Amino acid sequence: MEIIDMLGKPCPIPVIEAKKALARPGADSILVKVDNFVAVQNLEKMAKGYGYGFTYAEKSPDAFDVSVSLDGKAPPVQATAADVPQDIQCAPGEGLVVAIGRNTMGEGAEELGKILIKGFVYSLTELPAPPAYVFFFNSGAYLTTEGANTIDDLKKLEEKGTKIFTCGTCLNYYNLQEKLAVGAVTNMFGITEKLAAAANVINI
Amino acid sequence: MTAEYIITFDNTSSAIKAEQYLLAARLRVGVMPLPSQVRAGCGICLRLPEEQIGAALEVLCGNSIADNGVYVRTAAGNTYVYGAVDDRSDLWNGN
Repeated sequence: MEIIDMLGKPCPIPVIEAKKALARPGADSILVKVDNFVAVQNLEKMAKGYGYGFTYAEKSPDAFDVSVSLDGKAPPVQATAADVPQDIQCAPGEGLVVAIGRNTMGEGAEELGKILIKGFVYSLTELPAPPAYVFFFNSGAYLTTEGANTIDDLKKLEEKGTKIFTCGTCLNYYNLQEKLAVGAVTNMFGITEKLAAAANVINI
Repeated sequence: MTAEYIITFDNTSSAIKAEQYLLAARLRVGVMPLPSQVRAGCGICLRLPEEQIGAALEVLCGNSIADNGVYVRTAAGNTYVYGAVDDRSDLWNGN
């Protein structure tokens, strides 16, 4: 039985990875390790949707072992991040990470790019499920520091639960370290870890 | 929460210039895409708090930037309602 460690993985990755594992040739049953009960429920929905066997054991409040077996049924069609079953419930914005590495959007006229990126930052506040994290690096640091008229929108995003981080090396390079006006400072490990764990990344 | 105002423009160049003038005047201007409820105007519009909309219109007028319309926006649950401001005299008088 294949063991799939999904501890720390945001929704809907455990379901996607479980489906991938079950779709592998010769797969009969899998054991999925998850750290929250919502993930257990989502795996149950997926399993029962296909008529597969499903059991789970609570090892601790943040450790669950979920067993799914094909029980002779056909394996699932392999899923991708863009193909999440509709009945899977993720908490708002879970799994979406936005990486903003400059203070413009797109190539071409700089003044146009600078106003577009502000419109983009605002638009994040109107998403039904705001992102889990927004990272600012390189000249993107100009959007989180004093004097930027994106601060109000980013504070609104914070109120909605988004965590906002700016690259400390970049603040230092642009001499902005005393001017951070929203969110907190992070380093390359912090950025890389969250990008790697994200279900979806928007890279500007 | 106090009301906010949206200024729309005929073209993107006017919106860009308007933002630059309003920032230079140290007004609290925000940038946002044109809300879908507002039909007229280019894709970018500017947002100002109630207490600064009069001053903002004055700056734009003084710099010969024509706008396409002014709208008052109020929160309605998770979304916003935008109402066209036909008579601007109240906005000017308030500032």
